[in-house]
Order: sequence, then C-alpha cells, then structure tokens
Amino acid sequence: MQRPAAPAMGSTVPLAAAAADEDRGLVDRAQAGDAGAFETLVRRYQGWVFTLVLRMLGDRAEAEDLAQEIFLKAYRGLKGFKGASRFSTWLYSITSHHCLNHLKARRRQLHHLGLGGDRPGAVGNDPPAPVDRLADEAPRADVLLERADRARIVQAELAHLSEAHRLILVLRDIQGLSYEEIAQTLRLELGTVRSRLHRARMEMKARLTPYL
Amino acid sequence: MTCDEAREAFSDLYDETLSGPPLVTITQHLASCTACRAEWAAFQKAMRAVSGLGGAEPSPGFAARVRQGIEAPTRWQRAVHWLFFPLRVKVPIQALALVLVAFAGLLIYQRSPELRRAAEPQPAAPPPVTREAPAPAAPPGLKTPDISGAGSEPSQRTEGTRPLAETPKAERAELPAAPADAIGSPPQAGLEAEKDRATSALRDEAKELGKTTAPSESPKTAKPSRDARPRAPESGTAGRSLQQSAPAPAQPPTRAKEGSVSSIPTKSADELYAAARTDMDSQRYDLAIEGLRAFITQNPRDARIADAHLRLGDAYVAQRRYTEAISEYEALVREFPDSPLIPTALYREAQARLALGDRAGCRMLRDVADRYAQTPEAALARETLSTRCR
Repeated sequence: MQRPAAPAMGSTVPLAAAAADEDRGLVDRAQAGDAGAFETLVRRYQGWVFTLVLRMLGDRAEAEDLAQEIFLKAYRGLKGFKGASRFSTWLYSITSHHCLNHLKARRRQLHHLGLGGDRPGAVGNDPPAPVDRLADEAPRADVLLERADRARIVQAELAHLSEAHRLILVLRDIQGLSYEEIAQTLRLELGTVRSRLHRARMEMKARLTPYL
Repeated sequence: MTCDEAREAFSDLYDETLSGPPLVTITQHLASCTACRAEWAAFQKAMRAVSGLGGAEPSPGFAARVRQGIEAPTRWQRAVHWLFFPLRVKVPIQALALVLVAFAGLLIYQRSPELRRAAEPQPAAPPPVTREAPAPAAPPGLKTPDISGAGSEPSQRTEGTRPLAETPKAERAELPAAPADAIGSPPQAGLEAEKDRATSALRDEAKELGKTTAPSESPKTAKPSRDARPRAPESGTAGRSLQQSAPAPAQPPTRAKEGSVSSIPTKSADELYAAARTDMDSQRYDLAIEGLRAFITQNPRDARIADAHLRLGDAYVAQRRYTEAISEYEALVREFPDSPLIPTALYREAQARLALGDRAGCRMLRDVADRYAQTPEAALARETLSTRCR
C-alpha cells in the first residue's frame, strides 16, 4: 500500500509541539499589540492559507486578496482567541469559513448578474470559477497531458466539486490535515469527515479517470 | 467481500487507517478481482494527481502588505483624524462654528414672535368664575379696566361710536389694558420690559383718548344688572355657553331656571354685548373674550361688530395675547375701512406689535400720525415714536 503524498512545502503546517509553543508566544505578543509578532505568524502560515484559498477559488489574484483579508480578520479577532485550541487550528477554521462565505457571496453576485447556473454535482450550486471556464474551453485531455498541464486539469475538475467536498479534499489531500484536525476545523464529527472525504475522493477519481 | 464493499474501503486503504482482518480481507479481494484492482489503481492515480497540485506561495511582500493593512487606520480613526486634526486649526474653527450657530439660533428666536410666545410660560388659567362670585380684587392702584364704556344701553350705540370716548374721565384714567401683574411688576430686562412698555402705552393712550373725547354715558350709570344676566355656573365661562346655538337639553331644569347661559339663543344681542362688557369691567377677560366672540358670530350684521373687535383685541392685550389681539385689530381695519375706530385700532395694533418686538409697529405709528393727524391717536403715536422708535 502506498501512503498518500505528503503536502507540498509551501503548505506545510508546523504541527509540532515546539511550533505550537512558539505560536503561543507570538500570539501573546500580537495580542499585546506587537504587529511584528503577527507578521511573523503571517509568514509562517501564509503558504498554507494561500494554498487553501487558491485551491478553493482557482484564481490567484483573488486568492491573494482573500488571504490578506483573512489575516486581517484574524488579527482583529485575535483578542478573542483564548488559546483553547492551537492557533493553527483557529486560523484554519477562519480560513475555511471565510472561503465558503466568499464563494457564497460570489455565487449570489453572479446569480444577480444572470451568470449563475446550476451545475450537476455541485451541492452548493456554485458558479464556474474562472478555471472552470478555461477548462470548458480547453482542448482534449490527451493534448493537455502532452503539454504537461495536468495540474490545470486537476484544478478545473476540483472546481466542479461541491464546496464542501472541495474543501475537505483540499484540507486532507493537499494541506495534509489529519481527520481530527479537519473535524476540529470544520466542527464536524469524525465519521462525517470520513464519509464526506470518501465521497469527495470517489467523485474526483471519477472526474479525473478519463484524463489519467 | 463484495466489490462494492471493497471500493467503499478505498479511502481508508489509501489513508492506511485499515489494519487487522479488514486490511487482510481487502488485500485478498484486490488480489483476486481484476476490476477492483484497476479501480484501486485509478483511485490512487487520481489522489496522487490531487496531492500533486501542491502548495503555493503568495507573491513576495505579502506579509508586509498584511502588516500595512493592520497598521492602517480604521475608518473611525480616519474619520476622527479628518474631523479634528490638526487640532490647532480645526478645533477653533469648530468652536467658531458653534458660536455662529448659537448666535443664529438666538437671532431667529428674537425675530420670531411665535417662538418667543411659545417659550413664554403660559399664564395660569383663571379659576372658573361664576357670575355670582365677586370680582377678583384688583391690586392697589388698579381698577377694573374699561376700554370702551359703551353704556347701559348698547342697543343705542352706533358703529361709529368710539368706545373709549364714552368712558367717563375718572374711570378712563385708570384703564389698564394689561393684567395687573404686568403693570404692577417692575419692568425687567428684555421681553418683560418690552411688554410692560407696551401695556403702559396702551393705558396712556386710553387716558389721552378720554381727555380728548367728550364723555358719554358712564358704564357705571348704565349698571348692567349682573344678577339679571343668565349664568352658567357649571361651565365656568359665559362665552362658551354663549356660542351654543341650540338649547342644551341636558341642562338641569334648575339651572335653566337660574338663567343658565346655555339658554343664550333666546338672548338678545344687547344682552350678550352687555354681559361681555361687564366681564371686561370685572377683568374676567376669558369670559369677555368668549362673550364677544359669540356676539360677533351670532350677530354678524350688528352695528357694534367693529366695536366688538376692538374690545376683543383689548381683552387679548390684557392677557398678553398680542398675536390674537393684532388679528382682531386687523379684522376691524379690514372689515370696516370707514369706521371711525380705524385710528384707534391701528394705534393699538402698533402697540401690540411693539410689545412683541416687531418693528413694524413703528411703521404703523408713523402711518397713524400722518394719515390721522387730527386724531388723539396721532398725538399718541408721535409721542410713542419719539420714545420708542428712534
């Protein structure tokens, strides 16, 4: 049996106890108004946050803006962070919910503009992300593979998943969170995490099989 | 294990969370089932492709931009800064603006008689007065005001009769047209002083008119019988009952016997007028006002209507209700342009306006002095102009 691929370096999360302690110190200083300490936390988690946002939205510029918003929101809400969970878990939770809210708002906006539409398989009826439209207009898969554009295909197919499936798949298979961390982040039961992840994976496998 | 059961376990198998018998079972199934083995291979490929997307980094300077966002002033901070900084410039400007606004408010208040009147404490309503009750005692030096002295036989009066001219000299000399408290109290600064001057002027004017016109029938000699007048003790005011156009069936018979004013429709214009005059004599201005209003309403063609307007205006002046007094004087001038009471009405209206702080009163006084130069009012107007309109 093959183990799942480790998350990429850019999204590696400092999960070690030492890192958590270090986070705690930085958080304390940031709560006392030390912007430099918060900047250190931003540098530490910017890759992780940005990756999740990028995979959820599919657009780099939009993802960068949203990641910035998320950090600002986290800074403003830092006073309310009591340390009941790890800072990383708290930040993942903010990021996940902010992404979902953003997608919901974007869907509403597109709906008002008459651009939104139902899409099979999309639980949340989210509109096609920019990458979706690129995928629709894209050449056949074999050509794409020849151009080594596998990542683009995967991102396009990922965008076709429902937001809930996409999020859990990214958290697990790209960000490398454990089931427990996902359950904490999304405030779900472990069984729910397991079953939802399985459905998301099977759907993704069905979507990618023609290209692989 | 079926193929479906095996495929349901792909996710756990991929995450290596299976162990013991379940792991052995699925391993044996995959070894024996070609289709499931192919599915498993496709599943692994797909998952590797997803994991292969990998992480991404934001553009350089991302953390610095976040820090700038953190340190940037919030909307409120920007608003406060915009409003107050630099302090040495903006605070004096705001203080000056505040002073200007306050000054403008004061100016508007002073120029608006309605506002000033609204701000004044309303004089306490007089207690219900019955006709039988003795007239309230006047303060020393003040006697019952009698502005016209129309006599005991009002029916003999004509429209051209000047009410003040008919007042006996001795009584006219004591004609305060304002409440006792207004005249008796020492003049105060501002509005109170202005009003005192106005009431004094009206009183002086009455004196002057008395000197320059021939005395006629004294109201005292007329002696309108108060006891003979209908009474409305239950209502407290004669005028209110006077305005009733139909007999009040709800009135107790005993009151009707006593001559309740609710039976006024049966009363003549003369009786109404005499009752109103008696109320004026007794300083019962509320009753006088209501009686005169009823008289005007019920007898619009009576020859004494002009006179009634003048008396009504005087009653309002006595109550410091200058705006209403002005309306009555204006009504006289408007409806009876040929009446000999015009100079009197104009002069008193001018005085009432001055009492309100309205400088139009000066203009009116000049008009009286010019247009009615031979009348006593003209002399009074000139005198007032020299003292108050310089």
